[in-house]
Amino acid sequence: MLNGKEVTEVPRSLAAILPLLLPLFLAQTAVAQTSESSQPELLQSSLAVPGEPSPVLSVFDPYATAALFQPSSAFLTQTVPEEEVKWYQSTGFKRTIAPATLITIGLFTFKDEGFLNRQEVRDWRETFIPEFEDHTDDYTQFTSGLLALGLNAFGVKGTSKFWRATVTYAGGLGIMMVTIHSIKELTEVKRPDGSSNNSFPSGHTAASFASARFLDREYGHVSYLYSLAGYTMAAYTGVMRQLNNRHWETDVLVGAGIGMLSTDLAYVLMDNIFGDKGKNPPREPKPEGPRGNPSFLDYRLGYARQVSGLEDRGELFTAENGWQMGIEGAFFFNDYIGVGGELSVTGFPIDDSNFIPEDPVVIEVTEEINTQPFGNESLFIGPFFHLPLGERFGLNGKLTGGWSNGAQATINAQLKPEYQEEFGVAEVPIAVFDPKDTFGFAAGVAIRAMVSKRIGIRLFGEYNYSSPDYQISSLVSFDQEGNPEFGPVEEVVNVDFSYMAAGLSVSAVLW
Amino acid sequence: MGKRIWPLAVLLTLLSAEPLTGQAASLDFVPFVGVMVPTSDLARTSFVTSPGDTTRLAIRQNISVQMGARLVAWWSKSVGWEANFAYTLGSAKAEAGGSDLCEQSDAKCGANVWYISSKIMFRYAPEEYTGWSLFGGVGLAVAGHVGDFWEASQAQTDLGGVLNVGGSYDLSKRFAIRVDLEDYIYQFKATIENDPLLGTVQASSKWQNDLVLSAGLVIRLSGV
Repeated sequence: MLNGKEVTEVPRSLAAILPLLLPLFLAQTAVAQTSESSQPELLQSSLAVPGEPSPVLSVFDPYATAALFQPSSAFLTQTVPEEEVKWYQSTGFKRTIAPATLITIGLFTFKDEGFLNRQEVRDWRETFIPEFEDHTDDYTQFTSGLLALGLNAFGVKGTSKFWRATVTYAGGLGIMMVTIHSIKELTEVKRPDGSSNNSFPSGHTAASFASARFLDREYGHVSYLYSLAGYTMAAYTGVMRQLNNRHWETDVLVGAGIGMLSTDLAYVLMDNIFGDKGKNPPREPKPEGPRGNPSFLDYRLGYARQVSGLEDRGELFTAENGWQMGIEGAFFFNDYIGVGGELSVTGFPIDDSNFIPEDPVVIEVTEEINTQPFGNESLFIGPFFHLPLGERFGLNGKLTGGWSNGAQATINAQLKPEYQEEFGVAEVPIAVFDPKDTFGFAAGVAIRAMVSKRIGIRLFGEYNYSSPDYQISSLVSFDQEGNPEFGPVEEVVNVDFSYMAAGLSVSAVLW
Repeated sequence: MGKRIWPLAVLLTLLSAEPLTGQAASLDFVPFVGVMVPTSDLARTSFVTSPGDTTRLAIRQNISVQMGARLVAWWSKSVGWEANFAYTLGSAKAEAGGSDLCEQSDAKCGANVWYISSKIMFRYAPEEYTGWSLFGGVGLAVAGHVGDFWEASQAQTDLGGVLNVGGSYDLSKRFAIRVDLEDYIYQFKATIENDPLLGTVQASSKWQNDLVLSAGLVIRLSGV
């Protein structure tokens, strides 16, 4: 219940993989919202105990009924007659919709061009952080699983006793490893860094999501924070695999799905083998406490349109419509005012069709010009505001400012085929734009609708401004290893760069 | 004698076992074998061998054996989701000027195809776990071409789709036999450079329809 009103249940794993899969979550949540709010009394009547709080709670609710978290036998189990439960209300659907969504979208990105292709994240990485390298993902892949076993060893009661939890976790990892490595060996997909032909699917990501699922199923009913932490760690691992240029987006999404299914399969197998042996008794549902302040963590994805910027350069380069994604969060001191921060990334594909190189040699060897997308990162802090609009809705506002960084980008000449052999490369950079760090600010508003006690969907709009100095240098030669060498800065241009962004976001509200 | 009876005893025990519960939804694991029948050439192009004389080259995947596994989560009696991975162990044929270049003694023409798919499934079952059922599905699929035939080349596959129809017959509440006919539809583009057998081939993208007829054993891991 949410202040006396029914709330819907959203599959927690789906909510927690948002950094990987925001748009699909929104669609699924809308379905769950519609379906469950239309027949909430069915589940309630089957699970509620007279005199006890309703077990029909958010999956992020710490007091959610243990009946929803019975492993394995409950993997696909209905506790009410089948004809009374729609397929999209079944526990089986809620267990599998997250991995099904991840795998389906992962397969959809298995292409090199067109909408949502696997090159997009890699292009972003090559634009912003081409030299990025960080190997913490080697360790974070198992963190959630070890946390669950550690909690169990120190006496925090989860779903299973220690021996059964250990066997289940090992079983899930075993299923995952056999599946992942079989597919890797058979598909022979080349890694984005070209180092080997075993990219698909991502083993690190599969292990991290298998671990997160395990933590979720063991301790998610004790506190939603365990689930949130586990899936956040798993998403971090998946993102790092891409930032390290070790995996395509496809590998990460499909690996995440396989990891979650592997753990679920392990629970099913353990139930087949051990029955109820080694399970802890279900926890008693606790009475729900009052709602606190609306502190939140929010993932967003939206459309961005440049208001001012590159068109100042004589329309040689114009920024097309782009996208924005980001994460923001705020701690609220009361129901109305808080302080928080945001990290957002914006990308604008460049239309360079009006640009003609001045150098006749460049004109001679060039098939076409390819300019890297124009990117901008913002790390802002500032006050956040909240105005409650009834039980489910709220109006958010923010006024933030801080560090703004434009990504270094190159203008590349794709060589004519006859010159590709002579140069030994298909493309050479002919100029580089290097924006300097600067101060920026953003102002935004959002309307939030709660779909469960702790999950909300926001419709947001914001204005972002910065004024970086751009240094422009041209190619002068290649060094002995064939790397391009750029001349001294020829021109410094100050650009008033601003854009409007609008889109949808999903919030985990921590009240 | 005892050793011979053991497998039979285990099989009979499994066949007579009750599922966890006897309701509509289930989680099924389905290993299967089948045959893959490609219905069109992978690539087709022409060479100018001498002035006024051209030779036509057609690259085909031969009919091949396929193995794989499915994981099916039936969300209800009639709706579910299936993930499928299949691997086809086969060979290619490269016909030029009326002869198959792959018949040359040093030709490397091992050509394998893998498929991975995600499908929404629909099922009609008059009685659960005690008879036959019919089902169909539609979803996304990716097909990849690997093997030594493609080593010196780029076998580029675009995302595609898959259609599926089939039926199953229950052996017990835990086991069933399942037969499927699937059609994988996708675009394929071959770019072959300096291949010792074929030379350089720049073929345009071409639609593929790979039919797969398969039979599998349904193992119900969890009943509703």
